Amino acid sequence: MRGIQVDNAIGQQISAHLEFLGYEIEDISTADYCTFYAKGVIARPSFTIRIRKDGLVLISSSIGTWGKNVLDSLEFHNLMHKANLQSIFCRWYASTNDGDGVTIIIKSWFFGYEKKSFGRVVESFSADWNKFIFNFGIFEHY
Amino acid sequence: MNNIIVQQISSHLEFLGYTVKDNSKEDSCKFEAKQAEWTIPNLGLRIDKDNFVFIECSYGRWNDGILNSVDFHNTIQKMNQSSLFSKWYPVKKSVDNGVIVVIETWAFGYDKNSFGTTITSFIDDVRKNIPILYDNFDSFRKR
Repeated sequence: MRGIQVDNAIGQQISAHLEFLGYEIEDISTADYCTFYAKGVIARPSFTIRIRKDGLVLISSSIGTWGKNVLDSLEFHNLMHKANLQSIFCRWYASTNDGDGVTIIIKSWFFGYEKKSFGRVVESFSADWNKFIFNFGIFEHY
Repeated sequence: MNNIIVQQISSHLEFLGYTVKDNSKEDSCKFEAKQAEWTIPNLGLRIDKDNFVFIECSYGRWNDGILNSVDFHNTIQKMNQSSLFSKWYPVKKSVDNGVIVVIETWAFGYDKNSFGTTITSFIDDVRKNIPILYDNFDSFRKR
């Protein structure tokens, strides 16, 4: 494996897998979690991967920010629900955690690593991201 | 039930108090898990050819008017934010059937520990959140 050393057996398999897809991996692990950032190429989402000690792999990507008043828009909520209904391996939500703005978070998860099924989850995550992300352009004025 | 994963999952769900009923057809593997009391949600399960297991349950029903409540939508966003293994969204049923909330999760294949973690966390999320929806939006409930 080139580049960084992810100090975790599952982390190494996953970062190697993502490199085959063109991702650049940056290790940002802490004492408690194996965490790394995967920077996507064109038309692929960048995401953060965090691996828990029990082998749970959490994948998350975020887009934003919008003003808080976007949460008063029924149209915005309906688009989020539609994204949740149609996405297969991810869920979407609006997060207000970091201060003033609203960030859209897309999350997925997986246990351990298995080449074909992990591949399907990542491909499906990218496809769902691509399918909906541009729709949120209509909320630009927020 | 001829699928080994279905057998393993059914057996696991029985430990949690469910009664499992097979609804599979030739080209799809589907089954239901029911439980006599309200303490845990009834589940619908589907296994695809790559051994991904999709699990869902739904609660309802509310009047269509609930979809005009910003408060309702933000409550759903918060539930998606706070849960670990579950996805929440409202669905409008056709012709006056009102609005239901669908909760989904998935697992890959069957492994006792990871399936156990997923299903337990899913049930906990449903148990925690459904009463909040029923209490806060009682005025929209269909009677």
